[in-house]
Formats: sequence, structure tokens, C-alpha cells
Amino acid sequence: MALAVVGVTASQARADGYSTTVLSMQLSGPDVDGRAVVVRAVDNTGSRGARQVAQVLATATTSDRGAAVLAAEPQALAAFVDDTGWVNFESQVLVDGEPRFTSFSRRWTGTDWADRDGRPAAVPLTMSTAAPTVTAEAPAGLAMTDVSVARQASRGEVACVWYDDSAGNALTTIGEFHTGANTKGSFTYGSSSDSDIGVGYNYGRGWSVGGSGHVGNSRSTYIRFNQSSNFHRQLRSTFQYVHWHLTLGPSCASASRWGQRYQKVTPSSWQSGSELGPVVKGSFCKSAAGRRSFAPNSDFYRGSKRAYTYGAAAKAWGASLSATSGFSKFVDMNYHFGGNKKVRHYLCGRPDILSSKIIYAR
Amino acid sequence: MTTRPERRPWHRRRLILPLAALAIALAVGGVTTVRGAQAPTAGPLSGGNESVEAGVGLRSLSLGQTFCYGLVVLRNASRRQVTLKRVQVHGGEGLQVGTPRVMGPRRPETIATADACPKGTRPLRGYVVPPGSGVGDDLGVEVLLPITVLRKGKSRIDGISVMYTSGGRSYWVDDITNVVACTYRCEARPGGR
Repeated sequence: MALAVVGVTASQARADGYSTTVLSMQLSGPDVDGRAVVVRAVDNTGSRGARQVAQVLATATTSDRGAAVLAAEPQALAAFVDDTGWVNFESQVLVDGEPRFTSFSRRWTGTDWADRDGRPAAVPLTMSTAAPTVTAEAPAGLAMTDVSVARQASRGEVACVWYDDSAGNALTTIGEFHTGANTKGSFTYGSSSDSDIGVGYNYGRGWSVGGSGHVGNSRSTYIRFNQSSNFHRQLRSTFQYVHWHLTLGPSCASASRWGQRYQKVTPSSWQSGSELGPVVKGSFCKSAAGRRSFAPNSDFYRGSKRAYTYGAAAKAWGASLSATSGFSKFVDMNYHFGGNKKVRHYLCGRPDILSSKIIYAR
Repeated sequence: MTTRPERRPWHRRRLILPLAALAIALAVGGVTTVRGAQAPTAGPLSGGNESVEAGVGLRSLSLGQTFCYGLVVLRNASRRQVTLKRVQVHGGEGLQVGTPRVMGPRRPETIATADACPKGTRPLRGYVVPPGSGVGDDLGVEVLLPITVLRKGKSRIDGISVMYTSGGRSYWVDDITNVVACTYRCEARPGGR
């Protein structure tokens, strides 16, 4: 079957490197050819009882090898760009008569759409046609707070459209910080959020992870964890999550599926607030590899590097969601090593402290 | 990390300065100080930090005090040996950078900053980095710079470049890590006191 792509503009890919490709999809698994694909820009912030604000950008049908390329002009997405320049998208693929969704985010670089690691969106993203893996229910933990529920279901709900039925706050892991002996340090998050948090989907068979959404809203302040010596913990802040539902109908599913209800949970916004997470146990910086020593009365700071992805960083409505924060102008770390000349000050990371996702200390 | 053939404009992070107007070169025993600009490509060495906003700082230093900076560690994943030639310092007004030294992979410690450069170093100029240096368990070659404070207040090096030759061609490894030295209790990061 020949690749058929609708909505791909002439400027999708040009010799000068300019490309509006927003998703290059490679389906894996059985029956990958001839699948209908839709990509929408979505607003994950929601409004209780209302349908999700979304804009169909492109549609396509996968090739006989399961490939599809979809494009979006950045100028058309101004309403969906968050405070940090990111746009959230959702792809929809028809499998076994029902839609499967994947959330992802992109930032326009000026010449192309790129993902969180700076990879061009033209790099194929593998998606499976196999049944989604149902993740274990989120372990018992801190309860959600400030939960608000839509008063009643929207009258005349349209099938195949997501509706916001509730929202609530959940503590979410945003990072991990370590200090060694004779050291003070700070981990700063804000004043704009910079986190990618998992999106959970429930197709009626339990929650599964379906990509991630970027939370990049600004607040008037930042949070800073100021810590003294020998601190080794995860750090948390509060994010709002939205619970959505969708009812299958003719425009997105085969007749046997009509009336079936889907759910999803998306990260919505950063609410600020800070709390220390679990202690990280271990012996750190014992090996010379990746380790650097620092003089008394010296400093080290680092920003603009993607941080570690924390699995089960948050739970909302039973969905267990991962989270990744960036070290950027929005997230950074500072170390102030004390003047005690008898103490050795070590930071370490693999391959080194400038590029590691976590900086450890001793 | 980027290595580049000699010689193109230095890209300061967020601020690209015109080379012609701002380059003031001062050759001091294998070190060149440039207040301004230069830019990138492929050679066999890697290890410089070309994208991460980062820096080290030394505070409450005395005039004339010397410390050692060693955060740059060079790796040679190619099959060719290279010969180190010199270091170019970007920015650094108020600081004097001494003769650059190196420590091979069998060093006991890799320093970011120290009160003094360790013993057992070798001159950078002419040092041969063999293939495989910095690969696997090999710690790579650490570049060490003795830096002396010449004026009061806060002084900042915007980054350094290491020039080397391989196969008859010259290349640079750039590193944008800032080095801040103060005669008071300053903060290293830009915008800090």
C-alpha cells in the first residue's frame, strides 16, 4: 500500500533543513498497514464539564510498512503554545475498530519541531498496534488534594471527544538532589515549570501509559530547596491533573465499540508548593570515574540539561505517571563548598557531572 | 562537545561577539586570551562542554592568589593519536592564566577546582593523547590551568578552547563552562552577587 498523507504541506521537508514534520510514526506489531492516523494539538488544562480544546492538524494512512508522517505549520498553533514554547499533541490510530491514543510534545526550533531531547520530529517514533500494557495500579500514597468535579455531564456530549470531568492536585517528583560533607546547595524549580509528565489512558481494561505531556506554565515565583550537608533525597512539587472521558462513536470506532467509554489523565499545570520526597540511599562518588573534587570556598552550578525520569512520580485517579524535569533556566542546581580544608568535596555523575542526569555528592 | 578545525569564531552562550572588534589575543606560554569570539567541527578529540550552562567559582581569594582549574577532560575515541598544542581562554579579564598542564589517565583524582595544581603534571604543549584515551574505564586527559587573580572584584572566564593537531590538521575542542574568581564572597552563576 502506498503511503498516503493528507495535510502535509509543501514545506514539510526542504533541502535547507526546514521541516514542519510534527510526527513521524512507525507502527510495530500486527497489521500495521492502512491504519488511519490523526494528530491533534491539545490543551491539557481543561475546564470542568467542557470538551477538550483541540485542533486537528493532519490525518494520514499508514504505509504497508506501518509508516506515516504528519506535519503542522507552527504559525497555526499559537493558541496551543505554553509559557515555555511547547505544544502538546495527541495522536490517534485506529486499531481493532477502536482508537488508540499517544500524547507527545514538541517545540518549534525555528526550522523544525523537536522533542524534549532536541531530536527532530522527523526521527520515527515507534508505536505498537498490540494491546496496551496495563500498568499496575498506582501504589498507595499521598491522596490527591483540591479535587473538583464537573457538576454534571455536558448535555449532548459529542462522541469521540474528550470531556473534562474532574481535576485535582498531586505531589509529583521533580528531581533529586545530593550534597556531600561541608556543603550547602540549592535546587531551584521555576518560575516556569519545565516537566514532562506521563499521560495515562484507560481503554476500559485498566490504566496504561500513553506518552507524556509538557507542563510549562509560569507562576509568579519559583521554589528553591536550600539544603545543608549530606542531603540525599527526591524532591516534589504539586501539579494539577485533569481526568477526561470519551465515548466511542461512529467517527472514531467501529459499530461494535460504540458507547464504550475511555478515560485519560493528563498533567495540567504546575501549582507550586514543595515537599521533600523519599531518602535516596546508597554510597556515592566512591569511584574515581566521573568524579570531580572541588576546592574549599568554591562553587559549582549547572543548568540546561535534561534530568532523570522518575517512574511513578505521581498518581492520579489510580494512574501511575512518570515525570522528567529539565535542568534549564527553569531548573538548576548550585553547590557551595565550605572552607574546611580537611574535608574533600566531591561531585560525581556518569559520564561526568556536566552531562549526567543526576549529580551525586560525597 | 565539538571539535573544530582551526580557526573560527567563538560562540559565547547567548552572546556571539564579533571577532574583529573584540578579539585581543595575548599569548602566554601556550595560552591565548581572547575577549571575544570564535566557532565549530569534527576532530578526533571530545570532552568539552559546548551546551550545558555551568560554571565553577572560587570566592574570597586574595590578590595574587593562584588556584587550579581542571574541569575539562579530553577523550580520544578515534584511532588516531593527537598532539595537544595550546589553550585559548575566552574572557578572563583580571585573571592571568599560567602555562597549561595535563594529567594522564592514571591520576589519583580529577579536580574541578583546587588550591593548587597537583604534582606530577606534564606540559600540555606537545602532549600526545593516544587512541582510546577516555574510553571505557580510561579517565582521559585532564587539562589543568593555574589561574592567578590580578584585580579586586569578580572576574569571569567564559570558556576555553584546546587546540590540537592530528593527521597534519589543526582542530579545537571548545568548552563553555564558566570559571569565576572573586576577592569577595561572590556567587559563580551569572546574575549572582
